[in-house]
Amino acid sequence: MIRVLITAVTALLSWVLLLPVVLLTGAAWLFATSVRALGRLMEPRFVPWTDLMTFDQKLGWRPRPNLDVNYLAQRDDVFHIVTDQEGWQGTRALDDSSMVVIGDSFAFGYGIDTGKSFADLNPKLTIKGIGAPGYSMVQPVLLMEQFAERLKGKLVVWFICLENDLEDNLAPAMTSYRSPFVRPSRQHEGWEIAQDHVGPSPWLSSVWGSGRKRILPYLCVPGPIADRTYAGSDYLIGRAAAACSLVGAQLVLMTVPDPTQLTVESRANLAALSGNPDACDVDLPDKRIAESCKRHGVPIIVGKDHLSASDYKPIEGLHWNARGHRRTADVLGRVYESFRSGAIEGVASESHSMLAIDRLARLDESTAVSR
Amino acid sequence: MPLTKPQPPLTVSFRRADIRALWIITTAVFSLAVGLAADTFGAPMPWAWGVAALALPLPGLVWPPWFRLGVRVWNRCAESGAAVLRAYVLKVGYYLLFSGVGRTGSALDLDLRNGETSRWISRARHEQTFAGCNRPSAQGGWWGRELLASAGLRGNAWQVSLLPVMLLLMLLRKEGQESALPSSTYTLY
Repeated sequence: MIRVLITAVTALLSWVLLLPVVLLTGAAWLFATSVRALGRLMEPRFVPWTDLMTFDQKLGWRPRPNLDVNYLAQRDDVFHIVTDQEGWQGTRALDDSSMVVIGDSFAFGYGIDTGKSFADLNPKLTIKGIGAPGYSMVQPVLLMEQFAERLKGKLVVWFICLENDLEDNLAPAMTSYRSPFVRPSRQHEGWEIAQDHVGPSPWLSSVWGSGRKRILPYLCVPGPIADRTYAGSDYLIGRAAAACSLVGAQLVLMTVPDPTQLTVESRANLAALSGNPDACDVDLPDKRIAESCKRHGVPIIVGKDHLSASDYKPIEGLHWNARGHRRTADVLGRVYESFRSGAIEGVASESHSMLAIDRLARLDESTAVSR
Repeated sequence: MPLTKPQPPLTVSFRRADIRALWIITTAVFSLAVGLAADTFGAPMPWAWGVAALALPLPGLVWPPWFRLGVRVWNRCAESGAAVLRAYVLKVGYYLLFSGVGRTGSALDLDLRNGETSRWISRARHEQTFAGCNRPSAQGGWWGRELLASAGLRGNAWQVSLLPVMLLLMLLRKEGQESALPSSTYTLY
C-alpha cells in the first residue's frame, strides 16, 4: 500500500513539474501544426513522383508526356511542371528551338516552376531542355543519337552534374531502377554502353543502401577510381561528339559544379573526405573532363567559373535556385551568341581545347568580373 | 542524391505555402495580442493598436528575405527551446518519476529464485506466447496505443504515468533519423 502511495505521489509530483513544459510544448506544437495545416490548404495539390515518370526501354525512365501538374521536390517545395507531347519539359517543341540543353535534373528544370527555369529566362533565345532527374551522362548520349537528325544545325549544350553523373555512368541501376551504363567492352578494346539489363522489374543488387556516399571526393584525387570514372566519361563525350558532328550540330559541354566545390569551408571538407587531402584537387573533375573535350574537339564551359554557392538552394543543397537559373541563362545566352557568330565553330576545330575554354571564358568576362 | 530528414514536430518547413501560413498566423496572433494588451493597459482605441500590429509582415514587401527570416527565427527558437525542455523532461522522468515508480516492485528478475519455474519459452510455444504481440508501432500505428494496451494489463497500471513523458519526448524530438532513400524523388515509375 505504501509503495503504491509513494508511486502515486511521485507520479503526481512529476506531472506537476512537467506541467509548464506541457503548456509550452503544447502551444508551440499548436502553432506549428496550424501553420502546416493552413499551408496544406493554400498549397496547390501535387501528384506523387511516380505519376511524373514512366518506364522507357532504352533510357530506363523518362517524364510522361503532356503533363501539367505540380510535384513535391524532396526537402524543397511544390513546383509546377509542364511537359510536351514527347515528355520533355516545357511546351516548346524540340524542332522549334534554336538551342537544345540535354542532361539530368538540371536540364529538366527540377526544383523550379516550368517557365521560370534557365530555358525560359532569355526571350531572345528558344531553348528546349531534354532530360530527367537521375539521368547520368549515358542517357543524354543515347538521346543525342536518337534525336540526331532533329539536332541538325542546332547548338546542343550538355549539362554534366559533377556530383553524381560521373559515377552514375558506371552504375547499372539508380536505386532499384535499371539504367543503361558504360563498361569496358567485352567484345573489343574500349568501352560500350550496356542496355540489355534495362527493364521494368526492380534491380535487386543495388548498391544504394544505408549510408551510401557519393564518390565525388575520390574523383578529386588521382587514382584508380578517378581513372576508371573519367575513362567512362571520356568514352561518352567522344560518342556524343561523334553523334553531333555527324549531323552538323554544335556540341558544347557545361559542367555543373557541386556546391561543395564552391566554398573554402566545403572544399576543405571535400579534401578531408577524399582520404588524401594533400593530393585532393577540387578542380580535377573539370580538368579531366576538359582533357576529354580537348581530345574530342568539344568546347567546354566550366560551370565553377560562372556559379557560386549562393546560386544553389541552401536547404535542398543540390540544385540551382532562381538566381542560379538566371546565371545559367546568361551563360547560355553568351554561348549562343558565340555560336551564331561562328566563334565556337572555330575553337572546336582547334587542336588545343584549352583555347576553346579560354575563349568561352572570355565571352563571360563581364559575368566573372561582376561576381 | 539528397537523403530525407523528417521535419521535427515543432518546426516549420520553408515551403512557400508554409512561409505564407506562418506569417498569416503570426500576424493574426500578434495583432490580437497587441490589441488585448492595449486594452488591458487602458490604451485609448485598443483596436487601433491591433490594426497597427498587422504591419508586421510589411518589411517583406521591400525586403523579401524577411519572410524566410521569420521561419528561420521560429525554427531556431523551437529547436533550441526543445533541446532545453527535452533535457528537463528527461531529468524529471529519470530522477523523479522512474525512481518513484520503480518502487512498485518491478525488477528484472535475472536470478531464478527458489521455487520459481523457468521462464524459458520453447520454440513450440513461441508462436502461442508471442502471436498476440504484433507491435502496432511496427505496423505504422501510434506507439501510444501499444503503451496504453500494455498499461491495461493487470499489474501494469504504473505505465500510465510514463505517458506524459513519452508524449513530451515525442514532440520535443530532434530531427528524425535519415531514411535510407528519399521516398519520392527517385521513386520513378
